[in-house]
Amino acid sequence: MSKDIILTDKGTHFCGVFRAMNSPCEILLEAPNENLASQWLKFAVTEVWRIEQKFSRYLLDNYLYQINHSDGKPFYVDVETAKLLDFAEHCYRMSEGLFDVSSGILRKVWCFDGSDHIPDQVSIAPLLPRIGWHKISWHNPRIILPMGMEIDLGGVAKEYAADRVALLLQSVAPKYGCLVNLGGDIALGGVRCNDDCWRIGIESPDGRETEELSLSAGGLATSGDVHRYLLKDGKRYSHILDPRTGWPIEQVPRSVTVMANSCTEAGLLATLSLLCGREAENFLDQQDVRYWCLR
Amino acid sequence: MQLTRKKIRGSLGAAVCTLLAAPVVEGKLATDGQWTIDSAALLYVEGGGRVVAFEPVVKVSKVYDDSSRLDMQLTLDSLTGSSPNGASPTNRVQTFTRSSGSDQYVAQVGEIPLDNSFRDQRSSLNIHWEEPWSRLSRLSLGGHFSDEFDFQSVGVQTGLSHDFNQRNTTLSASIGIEADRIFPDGGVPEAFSVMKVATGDDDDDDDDDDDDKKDDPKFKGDDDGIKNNRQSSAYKTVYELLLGFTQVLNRKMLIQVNYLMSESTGYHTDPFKVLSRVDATSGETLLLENGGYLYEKRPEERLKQSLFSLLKYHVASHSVMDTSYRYLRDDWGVRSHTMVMQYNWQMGDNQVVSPSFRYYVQSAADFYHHSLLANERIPDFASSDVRLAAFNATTLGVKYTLPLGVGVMTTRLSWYQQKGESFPADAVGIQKELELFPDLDALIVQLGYRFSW
Repeated sequence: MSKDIILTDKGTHFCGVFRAMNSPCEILLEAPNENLASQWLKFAVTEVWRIEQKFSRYLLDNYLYQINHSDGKPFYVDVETAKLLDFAEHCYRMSEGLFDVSSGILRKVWCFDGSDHIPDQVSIAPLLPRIGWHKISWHNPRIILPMGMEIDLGGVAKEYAADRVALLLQSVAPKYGCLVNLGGDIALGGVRCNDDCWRIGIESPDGRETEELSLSAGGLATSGDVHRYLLKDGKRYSHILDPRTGWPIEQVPRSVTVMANSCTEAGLLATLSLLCGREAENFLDQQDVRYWCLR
Repeated sequence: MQLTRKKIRGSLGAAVCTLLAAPVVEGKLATDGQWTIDSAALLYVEGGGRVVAFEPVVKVSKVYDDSSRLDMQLTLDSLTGSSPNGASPTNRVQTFTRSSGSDQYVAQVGEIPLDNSFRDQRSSLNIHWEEPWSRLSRLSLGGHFSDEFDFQSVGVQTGLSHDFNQRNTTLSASIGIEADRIFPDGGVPEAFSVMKVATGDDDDDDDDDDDDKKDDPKFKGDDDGIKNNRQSSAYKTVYELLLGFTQVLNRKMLIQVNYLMSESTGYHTDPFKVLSRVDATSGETLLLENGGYLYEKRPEERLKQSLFSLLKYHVASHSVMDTSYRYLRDDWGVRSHTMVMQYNWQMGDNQVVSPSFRYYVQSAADFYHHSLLANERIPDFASSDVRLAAFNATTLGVKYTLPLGVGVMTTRLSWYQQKGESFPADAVGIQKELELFPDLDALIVQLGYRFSW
């Protein structure tokens, strides 16, 4: 992973560009001078990398790996992980089991590479007993993961990181505003000088037009990936899997972008709307948020 | 599906709040600025046994979290040696009276007269504060106080700078005011009064009617006591306006242009400088007792304007070439041009070698006279100060910067040479044989050490 941070002065603010969580990321921040901007940026990016390092499912021997390899024995987690697990549990209940951090192992059979390689029920069925948050014993701060089960916080970690970093910058530089953009998941912190807004361009579904939003607080998140699907016999299989059946949810929008009070909230609403399939817009309409749904 | 009809946002928002209300900071942000101490000692030695100056400087700076900046500088000067008193060399030994009125010094035949009692101590304190005024502008405030044996100066200035164009352009403006007081030993000599024969004691006489005689070119200088009639102090006020423009042209080039206007009113005359009065045909200086030396007189006002431009060019690997030019003109008739080139050559291990070249040339002030003709009317203003003469000066220098211990050591060596009109066209009689403006050489050595803590 590249550890470069490129800082440029944009006149009204500074812009730091870096890579994290397998995405291009940027942080826009106001600062009185380049020296402080550089210090704050480094501080913020270090926090993003810390969260990535701790919760990435791609790393061996990180904190998440240790939890997932606790072999059925009780594991006592730290405060930060406990809060994330509490949140995951809340989302599981609220979504009636649709949002499930234990569903990640379905990726063992589903590979959304645009091909027509659809797994059969024979390979999916054995995984289902290893999925289901209700099978996990979670009593803060102790977690007992049954043998063969895994958790994957990828569904919230990026949005959580964006919000946290925005809050962190706000605590360090309360007089200045910042925008944290981790691969399209955006969190805003502080108040901009002169009460300015951050202007964010949102691409239209066909990618040709850009709508410009003026945001001063809250967050924006996008779920879905137009490039991740399988196509067989004219049927499109989305990469949004129903943890209860192990099969893709049907009629899923290609991508949903939500604007809410925080990046984490926006991210969850976007993810849940995809899990609602053809009812995605109905779900979002209920939530009283601004959204952009691409089908 | 149940979820689609459920309004979950309130409950989700609460859960997010709980999640994000974590006891935050894991890392630590060190932001406290450091104090930087810049200390240096300079030695200035003029050739021919003239002025020797020793100048230690200590500068203390701190940059605060909000990028406010404080600079304080203390300078101590100590000057000793001989300084030209303004009189011309002549074909006999010349005797002069010190400003105290009771002491004498001499100049040998053909030598430029030097007052060998030149001795001064100067201490000055400069304080400068700069802080962000808004996101893109900065406010600065500064002041100085300096104290010498016979001179005091106090000044304040304030300025504002603003960045534009993604910080590639900076405009700045500042104004300043300075008040000077001069109080020479023995009082301020009356303009064009004659240098009196030394009394050897402090006796004064009360004759004060020289006003009528001042404009009489033939008056004799035997009617004026040196100490009486003299005011103890004289004053000068300086107003300054500086407008600056800095533009980053590209990654390698930066240009800076400054316009400075300064207007001063009050006493500009050098109380220690005299002019020789010479016989219009022989060119010989009149005897001291015949009014051979008159105290100089300069205008009460001076308006200076200068335009400065600097081009900074980043050559490969951190080496920087600075080229600057300054044009100055004032209403005394002085026009000067200054060209400076410095190359900062970044070597390995953070060592920097910086050779520099400076060329300066100026025209004379309208009232500059190397001497006055005894049969002519005394002009309104006259000074023989070489600093108001036409001359040029070349400085060659090299600076070496070496990281040492916790800081950086710098060594600077410069050689200065000044050349004027040694044999001016308007010299008369024996003056034609004498060097009226001898060349001046000086060597400057500076040693400095800068560190932070």
